[in-house]
Amino acid sequence: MEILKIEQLSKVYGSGETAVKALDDVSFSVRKGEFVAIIGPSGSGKSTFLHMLGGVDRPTSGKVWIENTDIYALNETQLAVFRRRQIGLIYQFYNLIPVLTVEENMTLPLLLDQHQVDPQQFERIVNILGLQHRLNHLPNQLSGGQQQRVSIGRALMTQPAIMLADEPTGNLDSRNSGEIIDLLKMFNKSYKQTLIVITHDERIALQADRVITIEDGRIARDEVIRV
Amino acid sequence: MNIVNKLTIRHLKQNRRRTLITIIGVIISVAMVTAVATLGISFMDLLQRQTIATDGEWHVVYQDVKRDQLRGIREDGLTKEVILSRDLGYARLEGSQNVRKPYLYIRAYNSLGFEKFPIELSEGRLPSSVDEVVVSEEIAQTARVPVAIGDRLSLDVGERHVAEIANSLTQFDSWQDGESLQGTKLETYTVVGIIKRPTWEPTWAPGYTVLTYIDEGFTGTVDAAVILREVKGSLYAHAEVLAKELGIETVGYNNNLLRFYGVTNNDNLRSTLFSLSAIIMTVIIVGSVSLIYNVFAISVSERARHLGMLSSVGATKRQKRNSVFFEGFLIGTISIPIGIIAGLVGIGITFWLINSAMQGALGVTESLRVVVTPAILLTALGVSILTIFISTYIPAMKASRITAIEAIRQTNDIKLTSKAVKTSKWVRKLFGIEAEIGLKNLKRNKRRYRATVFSLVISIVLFLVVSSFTANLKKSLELSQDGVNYDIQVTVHGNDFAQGVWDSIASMGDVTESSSIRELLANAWVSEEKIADQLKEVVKKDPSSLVDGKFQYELKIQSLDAESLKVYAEQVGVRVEQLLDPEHPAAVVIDTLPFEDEVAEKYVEMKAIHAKVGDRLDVVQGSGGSREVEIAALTDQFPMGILPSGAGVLNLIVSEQVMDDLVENPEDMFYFLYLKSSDPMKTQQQIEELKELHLSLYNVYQAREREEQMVMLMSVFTYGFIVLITAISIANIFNTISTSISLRKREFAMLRSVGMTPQGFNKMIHYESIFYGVKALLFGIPISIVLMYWIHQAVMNSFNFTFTLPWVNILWCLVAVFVIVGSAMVYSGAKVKKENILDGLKQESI
Repeated sequence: MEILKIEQLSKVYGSGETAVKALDDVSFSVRKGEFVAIIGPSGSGKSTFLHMLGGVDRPTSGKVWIENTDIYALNETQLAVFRRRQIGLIYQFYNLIPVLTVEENMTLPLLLDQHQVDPQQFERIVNILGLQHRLNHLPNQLSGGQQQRVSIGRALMTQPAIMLADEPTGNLDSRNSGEIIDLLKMFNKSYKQTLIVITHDERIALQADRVITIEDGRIARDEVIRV
Repeated sequence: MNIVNKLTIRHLKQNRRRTLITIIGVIISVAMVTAVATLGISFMDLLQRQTIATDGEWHVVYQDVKRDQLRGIREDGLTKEVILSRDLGYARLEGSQNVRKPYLYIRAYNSLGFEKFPIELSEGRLPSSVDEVVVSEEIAQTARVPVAIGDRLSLDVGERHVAEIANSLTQFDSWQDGESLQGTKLETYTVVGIIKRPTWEPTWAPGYTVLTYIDEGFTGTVDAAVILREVKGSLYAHAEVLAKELGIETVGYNNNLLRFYGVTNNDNLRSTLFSLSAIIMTVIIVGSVSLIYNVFAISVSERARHLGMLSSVGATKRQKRNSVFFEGFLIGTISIPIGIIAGLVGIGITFWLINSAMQGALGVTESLRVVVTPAILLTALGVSILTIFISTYIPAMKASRITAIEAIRQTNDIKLTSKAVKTSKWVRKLFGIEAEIGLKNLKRNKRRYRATVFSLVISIVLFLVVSSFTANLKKSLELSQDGVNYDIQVTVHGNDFAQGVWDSIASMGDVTESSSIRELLANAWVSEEKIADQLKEVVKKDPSSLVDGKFQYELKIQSLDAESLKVYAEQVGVRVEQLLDPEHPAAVVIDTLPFEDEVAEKYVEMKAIHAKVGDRLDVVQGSGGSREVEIAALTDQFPMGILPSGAGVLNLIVSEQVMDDLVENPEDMFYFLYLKSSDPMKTQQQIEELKELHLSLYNVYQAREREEQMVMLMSVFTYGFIVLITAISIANIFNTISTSISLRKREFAMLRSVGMTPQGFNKMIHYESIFYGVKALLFGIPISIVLMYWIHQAVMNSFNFTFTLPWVNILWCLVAVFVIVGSAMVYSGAKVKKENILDGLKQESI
C-alpha cells in the first residue's frame, strides 16, 4: 500500500538569473513499512526533499500525498495538525525543547493534540530506548546520543504514517550512531514504521531496504537492495 | 587603531539593526534626562518672569527706613539695587462718579521703582520730581473725572479711618460706610503722564492710583525694597542680621517670587519640595539607567559568540573587556550629543505648542522659553556617561570571562535545572501545554525575564507615582485657595434688598453663571460625641464650653436659588424634592472642610461634625425659638460662592422655600450674589454704574486666576513628564521582548515542525505576555502604593488630607501594561511566524 506518493515535485529558490532549482520535477512513491535511505553529495537537494515530504517547506510546484491526503492542499492549521499526528521528524541537532523534560519532550505531539498518552505504549518505547532513568531530566543534562533517542521516541509516540530523519547520526560518535540506526531499524521491522532517512554515510544507507540517490535536484538512482 | 577595536567597529556596522537600536535607546534616555532637567528649570524661569511681570521685581523689603539706615542697606554686599517707595495716603477725588472709589491713592517711587514695577505709560512721561505725578487712566474712564497732562492738582492727603479700628485702612480695604480722611496735609502736583491701571491695584480698592517721585534727599521714612545680587537660601538670615544692625524693625520678603528660585523660609514647604524633588529625581535616574543597561546587556550578549571567537584567536580578558567599553564609548559619543540636542529640541517644540495654547489664557503674559544652563548640560552629560559606564561594566566583566567554546556552542544560554523551570501542574490543566511552555520560557532566562519585568515595574511605578503627585498638587492648591470659585461677589443686608436690582445684575451681558444666596446666622447645640475632633480638644482644655453635654455650634444657613439648588443637589446626590418642603425642613450639611491649622502651619481636611444622614439639628435663632431641621445629606462640596468656615461653624444648605419659612426676622438675613463673568472688569463697572449705595462689591478673579494658572502649568509639566517616561518604557519593553523572541527562532521553528498550529503558537505568545504583565503588576502596584504614600507624607508637611488610592490610574496601568506587552509580543511573534520553518531551524542565534 502506497503510504507516500510524490508527483512532479519542484522547488526553486530565488528568481531570474539567480534562480536555483533545488528539486527538479521529482516523482516517486513509498510503500508502508519501507525503510528508504536517501543519499547524495552536499547541495544535491536531499534536505530540501525531506522537508517537502515532512510538510515543513512548501514546494514551488507538485504534490505530496501522505496516506491519500494532499498535504499542501491543507491550510496552515490543518497542516500543523497533520504533522503532529502523521509525521515524525528527527533532525541532526537541536531537536528538543530546552525547557521541557525528556518525558514532556517525548509526548509533546500528543500534548499539543490534547490527546491522552497511552502509558503502556510510552513505557514500551522508553524501555526500548533505554531512557527509563532520564525521564525527568532536561535536554542539557543528556548526552548527544541520549538526546537523539528522545527525538526518536517523540517521533514514534504517535505512530505516524511516515518517519523522516535528516542525518540523525551526523552529530554522534560511531557507537552511538550504530545504536541509533539499530533502533530505527527495529522500529521499522517490528512496528512496520515507514522510515525515510537522509544520510551521506554509505554504511548507513546500506542498512536500508531501498536507496535513492539524488543529484542536482533529481533522482539519479533508485535501487531496492533488500526485499 | 588596534585590531580588537577595529573588529568591534566592523561588527557594529554589520549588525546595523542591533546597533541602531542600542544607539536609539541611549539617545532616548539621554534626551529624557535633558528634557526633564530643562523642563524644570524653564518652568521655574517662566514662573519667575511671570511673577516679576505681575508684581514687580524685588526680594526683600525694609520698612520705615530713615536716610542713614538706607545708606547701610545700599552698602550691604548682597544688595544690587534699592527701590524706594512710600505710601503718601489718600485724597478725595472731587466729582468721582464711582461711589465705591471716591479717592485718589498716592504712592511715591524712586526712578528704579518706576523701572522695576509693572507700570505702563499710556501718555506723557514718568514723574522726575516730587511735585510731579502720573495718574491712572481709569480716573477719566470710570470715575468720569477729566484729567489731562499739565493739570495742577491740589490735594488734601491723609489717612482713612473708620470708627473702632486703630490702624488706617489700605488699598485692600474697600470703601466703608462711615469712614473719613484724617490728618490731611495739602500737597500740590502737576500731572505729567497717564498710566494704565496697575495690575497690583486690587479691584475693590477705594483709591485710584496716583504715582509721584521720591528723591534721594527725602525726609521721613521710606520702604526700601532690595533687589539682591543673588537669590540664595541664606538671604533670610542675612536680612534679619542687617535689619538688626541698622535698627530697622520690620523686614518683609517677596515670597511669591522667591519660591520660584527654590528659596523659602517656610521649613515645611522646603522639606516638601525637597522630598518631592528627591523622589522624582531618583525615579528618573532609575528609569534612565535601566533602559541603557538593558540595551547594552542585550547588545553584548548577542556579541557573545564574536567575543568567544576573539578568545580562541588569543585575545586576553582585558582585551575582550575593553572591546565592550569601546563599544560603549562609540555608542556614547554618537548618542549623547544627539540625545542632548533631541531633548532640547523636543522641549522647544513642546514649549512652542504649549505657548500657543497658553497665551493669554488665565492672564499668562510671559511665554515659556527653553532655558539652557551649563548646569543642565553638564548634568545630562554626567549622568549619561556614568550610566553608560555602569551599563557596560557588568556586561564587560561577563564578556571577558566567556571562553571560546562556550561562545561557539552557546550552551551557556541553557544552564537549566528542572527545578528552575518547574511549573505547577495546574498551568497545563487550566491553560494547555502552550501556556506551560510559555511560562517555562519565561523562567529559563531568569536574568532577561527579570530585566523585562523590572522595566515594566519601573514604568508602572513612574506612571502611578507621577500622576498621584499631580493629583496631590491639585488638591493642595485647592485647599490653600480657600475655596474661592467665583469672580465677583455682591452683598447686601436684609433691609436694603431689592429683587429687581438682583435680577438685573444676574442678567448682565458678560455674566456666565450666577448664584443667589441668602444667609442667616443661627445656633445649634450638638451633643459631645458628634462634635469635631478639634472641638473635642477645646472641650478638654475648657470643660465649661459644654452645656448639658452639648457644644454650641454656629450655623450658617444658606439658601440657594432654585436653579443652583437643583444643580447642587445633583452634585451631592440627594433628591432636590427632599429640600423643598417647608413643613419638613431638610438641609445639606457640609461636613468635610479644608482649614488652615496655624499652629502646625499646615492645611488640613477635617470633619466639622460627626453626624449621619437623618439626624436632626435644633436650629436656634436670635429670638430664642427653635426649629428642627433634618440632615438630608452630608458632603464636602461647596456651592459657588460659599466658603469654608472653621471648626465650630456648620454650613447648612437649604432651599429658598425652607429659608423663608425658617427665618424669624428678615432683617437678619444677608443676601449674596456670586457671579462668574467672561469679562469681570466690565461687569464690575456695569454694576457700579447702577449706583446702588448699599451694595458691596468684591472682584476676586485676579487672585483666583493666578492660582489656576499655577495648577495648569504644573499639570502641563507633569503630564509632559509622564509622556516622556512612558515613551522610554515602551521602547525598553519592545526592545527586550523582541530580542528574546528573535533569539528563540530555532525553537519556534521546531515547535512548528512538530506540529504546533499557528493558533497554538499565538496562544503561547499570549500567555507569555500575560505572565509578564501579571508579574510586573504584582510588583509594580504595591511598590507604587508605597511610594505614593511616601509622597503623600512628604506633601503632608504642608497639607493634610486623607490618602486615597487612585483607582482609575491603577486601572489605566493594568490596561496599558497588557496592551504594551501584548503588542510587543504579537509584533515580534508575527515576524517569527512569517518565517519559513526551515529557515528557522537552520537559524543560528545571531
